[in-house]
Amino acid sequence: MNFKYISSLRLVGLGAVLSLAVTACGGGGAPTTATGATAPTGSANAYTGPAAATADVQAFAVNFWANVRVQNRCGQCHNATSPAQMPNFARSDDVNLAYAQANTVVNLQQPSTSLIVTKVSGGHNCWLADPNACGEILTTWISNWAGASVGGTGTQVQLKPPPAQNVGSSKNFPASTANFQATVYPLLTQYCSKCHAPDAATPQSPYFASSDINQAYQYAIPKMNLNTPISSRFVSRMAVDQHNCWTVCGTMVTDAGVTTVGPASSSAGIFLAAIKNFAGMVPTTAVDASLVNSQALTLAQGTIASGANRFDSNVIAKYEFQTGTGLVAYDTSGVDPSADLSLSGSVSWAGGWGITVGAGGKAQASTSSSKKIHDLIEATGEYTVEAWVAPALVAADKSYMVSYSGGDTLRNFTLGQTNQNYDYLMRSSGSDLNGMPQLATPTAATVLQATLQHVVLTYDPVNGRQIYVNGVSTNVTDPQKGGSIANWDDTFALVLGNEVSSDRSWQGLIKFVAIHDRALTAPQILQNFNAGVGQRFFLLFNVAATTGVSQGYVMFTGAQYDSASYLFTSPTFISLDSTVKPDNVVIKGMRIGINGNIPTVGQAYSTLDTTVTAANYTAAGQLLSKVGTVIAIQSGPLTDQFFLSFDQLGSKTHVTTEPTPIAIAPSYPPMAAAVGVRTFAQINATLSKLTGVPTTNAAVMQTYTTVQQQLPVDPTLESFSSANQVGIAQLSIQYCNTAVNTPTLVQALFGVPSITSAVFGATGTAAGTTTVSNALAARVVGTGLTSQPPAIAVSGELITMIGKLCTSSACTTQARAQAVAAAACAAAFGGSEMLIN
Amino acid sequence: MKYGMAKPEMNGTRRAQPTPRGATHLLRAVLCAGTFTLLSANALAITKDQAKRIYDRIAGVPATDAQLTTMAGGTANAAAQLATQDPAFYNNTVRNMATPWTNRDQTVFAPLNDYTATVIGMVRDNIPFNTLLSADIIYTADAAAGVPAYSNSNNDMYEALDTDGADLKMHLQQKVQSAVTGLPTAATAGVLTTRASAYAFFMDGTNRRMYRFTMMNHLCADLQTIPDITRPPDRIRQDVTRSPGGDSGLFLNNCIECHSSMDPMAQAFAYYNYSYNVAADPTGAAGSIVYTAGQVQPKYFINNTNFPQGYVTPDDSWANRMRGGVNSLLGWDIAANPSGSGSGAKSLGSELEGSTAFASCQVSRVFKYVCLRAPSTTADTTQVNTMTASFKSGGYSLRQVFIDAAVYCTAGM
Repeated sequence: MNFKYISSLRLVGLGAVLSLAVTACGGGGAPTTATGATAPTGSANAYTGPAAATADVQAFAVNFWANVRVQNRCGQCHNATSPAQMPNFARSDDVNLAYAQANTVVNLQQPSTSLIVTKVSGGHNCWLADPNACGEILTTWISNWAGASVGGTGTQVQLKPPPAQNVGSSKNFPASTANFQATVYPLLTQYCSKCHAPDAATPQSPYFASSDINQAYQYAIPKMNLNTPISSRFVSRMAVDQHNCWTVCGTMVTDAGVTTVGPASSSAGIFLAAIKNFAGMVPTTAVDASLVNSQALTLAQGTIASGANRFDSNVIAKYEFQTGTGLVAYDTSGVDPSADLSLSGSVSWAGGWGITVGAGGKAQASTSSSKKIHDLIEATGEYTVEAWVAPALVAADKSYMVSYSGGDTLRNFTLGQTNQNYDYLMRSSGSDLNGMPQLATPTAATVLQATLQHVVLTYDPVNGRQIYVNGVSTNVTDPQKGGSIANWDDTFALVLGNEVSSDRSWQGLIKFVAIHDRALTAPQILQNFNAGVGQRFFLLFNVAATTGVSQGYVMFTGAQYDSASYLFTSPTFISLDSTVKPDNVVIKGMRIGINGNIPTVGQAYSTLDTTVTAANYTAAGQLLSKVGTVIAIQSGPLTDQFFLSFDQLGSKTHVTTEPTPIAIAPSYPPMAAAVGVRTFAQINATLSKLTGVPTTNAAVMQTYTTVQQQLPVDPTLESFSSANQVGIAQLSIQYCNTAVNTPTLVQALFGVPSITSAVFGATGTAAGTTTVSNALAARVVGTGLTSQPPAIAVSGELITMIGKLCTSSACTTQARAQAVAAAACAAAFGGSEMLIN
Repeated sequence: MKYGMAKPEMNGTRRAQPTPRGATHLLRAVLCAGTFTLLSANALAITKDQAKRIYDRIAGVPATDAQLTTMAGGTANAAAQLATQDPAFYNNTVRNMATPWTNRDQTVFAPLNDYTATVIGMVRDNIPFNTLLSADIIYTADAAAGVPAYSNSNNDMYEALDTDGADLKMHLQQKVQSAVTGLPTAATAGVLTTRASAYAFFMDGTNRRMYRFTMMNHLCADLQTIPDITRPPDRIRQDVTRSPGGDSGLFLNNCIECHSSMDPMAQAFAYYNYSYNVAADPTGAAGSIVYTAGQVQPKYFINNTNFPQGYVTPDDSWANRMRGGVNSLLGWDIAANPSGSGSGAKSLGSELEGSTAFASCQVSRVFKYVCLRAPSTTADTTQVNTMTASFKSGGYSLRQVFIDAAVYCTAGM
């Protein structure tokens, strides 16, 4: 990297508060306390040299020197005797001389950039298998030293201009659909068209399997990546989501930053091959010269912004999950012994630092290395468990994220999840050996969300257990205040994502875990929450040439967000030339490009319309937008190259035009019957109209209320069911029964003055039978309607029915006659003559 | 075999049980209907059978024989006009079409309420239906109905109309919504700001529900039918995680396709809430709509640490991001509002009801309601397009749409 310029501007912590003073580190911050029992495992002679000359030397001695001077670390070479490798900052004869040497290899303002850190991280004699883990441990020791010396307010960031790079060439989607049609489209129409087509039985957008090739292409473009085909959504949808594969789905594996898909015969493999074929037909082209672009840079070419402002002075175990490969997650607390975690079961490394825990997976330390947690916490009588987690599920029962325990019934402490609650179990004098009763966040508060959250459990005898989420106390009160944790067991093991007995599986992403041997205060917890998690960079996009502003940049805070995307936040226009005060720089329609392409998804700044003015510009630059956005990863954080493109930047413009959407051709269901049925309310109203009984009649209203939802709701014949018919029968019987018993309605409805015992005769052969039948038939069928059955036919059916009823039980009483009349009425009005619409 | 729904016998096979009488008649009616669709009816003087079907489809109840005789001498249009005068058209047909719009469960078995009553009243009075989502209008019971007065905190008036079986055509009266409910005039947005609507869609949650159900009910566009992942996500609020369960791929491929358009639209409701006593009235039945002019409701800031870099709602300004992209096909009225943005529910309602999708949705729904089928042929599609054009150019009379649909679907009997 060619650092032509190092700005005097320094960003203090993540708040990006700029200061012009070189040595001032910002005031305030939490007080620090040196971790007491940090005993190195390697052998080191007792120190007999001169006492530390100053407080800073003492801080150096306690936090850094005591850890590195041992024989199995730096003290093996960088000592005072043999081989006395310079700089001999690990010499054991004189701490003051070691201090002087150490100052040549450390950067207390920005510990992660210290020479000793970069050298060891680069592979120089790390005492662990992962050089990055050693680098992190050294960073922690230096940070602790710096924190003890200057108040722990955090590290300083110096903005460094990236190298000058133009936007690279790339493959862009051709306007013609021919290549798509020859490669990917056949797969889509063969395997996806049952859903992802507008004429599917249950159409499911996006319609990339449409029979209209133009429409399909339009929808398929966002799902394909011609520059890195393996990043295509079509591939991950099969390999990762296992989404309706037509054969074995295949798997996607990322190891040491390299992602592969297999087997080739899997759905994912076939899709990948097709997209590769498509990409192979598309030539690599230079970026469109008409675009108004910034210069380009990769993530690593930004200025590191992470690691600042955490309060870690009392950390005794820390996991940052930076290794990214293998089966060990290192404890980078720097407190010996390292309680490294062994990954087992469904646990995979996540992009942007972290582990993804699947069903049954866990990460567990040995009982011997976990013992330090017991020992150090027992010494203080208080502690904190801190984690950045993203639960994958919001329906979970007793799923454990962080546990220091001996099985499902024995524990010292546990951070768990029950649905949308965080659970806190802890053994104490007020609990049983399983840490019950537990403390939990309120169910109604639904504190736990399926997103990245900062969760902190604290305990001290005065305040008892407390739960903080995203820097804020959940205000749950511990009924066990004042207890003791002297009954903890030192034979337990620390485990993440499960119980040591593997029967409390938790699923989700764990990006960070730390255990402190002090109860962090609320401000310290908030400080750590604000510090965030993961590595972040200040990305300086050079726009000097276009804007005419000397050393003018649009600066983003960028990070790998997770395995699928980058996070971009806080776009700021800034000049690294402190003598410049930009004015009247118009910025409109800003888009983030990757590898020569401008993704269509996630362009939160495409609506940006602002102007940088001298009045609004400060030494920290001018913030262009408060919102952040995520942009999908393409080839990976090591190689993805970003740039910005603008609709207008300064006086230069580029008109972005969107493709014209293609209208979806109508699709038609099978032709339905020309007629249907009356629905529930229509039936009720119709029966009321036919019988003359008002719908408000108490008896019919009661029956209607009972059967209302049993009556047809859908008017189509196809949906009519026998249950509907039963409901109609019940309601029509009630209407007819009410009508029969309402004298004023009888004449009009039945054609006779009243329903007497003689109306039908004993066997249903009296003249009244025909009179009543004809009246009912005429009423329901009407006259002169060829779409209705002949009234005479309906009447004949009714006469027959009345005859049968009176034969089975003689119609010699008025009650019987009324019952038969009501039955005839219900038969007439409860049938299709009434129902058909 | 469903009772009453006998299938024709095929190739000499016989059913094991005798055909129920109702089924026989039903089958006969179906066959008769099929026969008559083959006949060519006089374009002016309709048959009695066509008159019956027109009346049945619109009013839902049979006409009297005298009415049928009268209608048979006239045109189909006149017959349909007569059918819309039947109280059952309002009490049943319009009411049951509108009722599912007014509750979260989309059930038709819900009590009458001010939302439904307003729809019924607007159809009865031929109020331009393209003011449904924006006008300062509400329908209440008249004094003659003898029911409790309108209340902001209960639905008693409308439930009493239900219980009494009141003739809604007769007893509903048009009122100025702001005068009835006390909302500021500028805060009224037709049926959106009725109590029933607030109860269903402003209660709890984040007010996105109001947007979704409005789109579903009045543009016939549920969220999954109008996804567009290309819209800028700058207005998506903080409560939407960009990495669900640690996988931002879900956000970039799923969440964003709805939220990028929904959140800037739902911002129009930033000052609305539905207030109720959670402890004493957990269902919210006694709650009321709340409007806090100039002050964004706290619900817009819940779970704001899910994505701290998300959008923080400052006011009730809205933006229609669907003016671009694939959902520009919804046919927005650019001339009426060139910017595609505004403030508050009223102007959002105007934006929605000015779209072609709004008009097409109302027409298509009525078509299905009257014809008992969705458009199933190119002729049907042409007819719906024609009716949509007429609806828009003819003063947005929904009653006329019923008439036009009935005339079309019964022609040729």
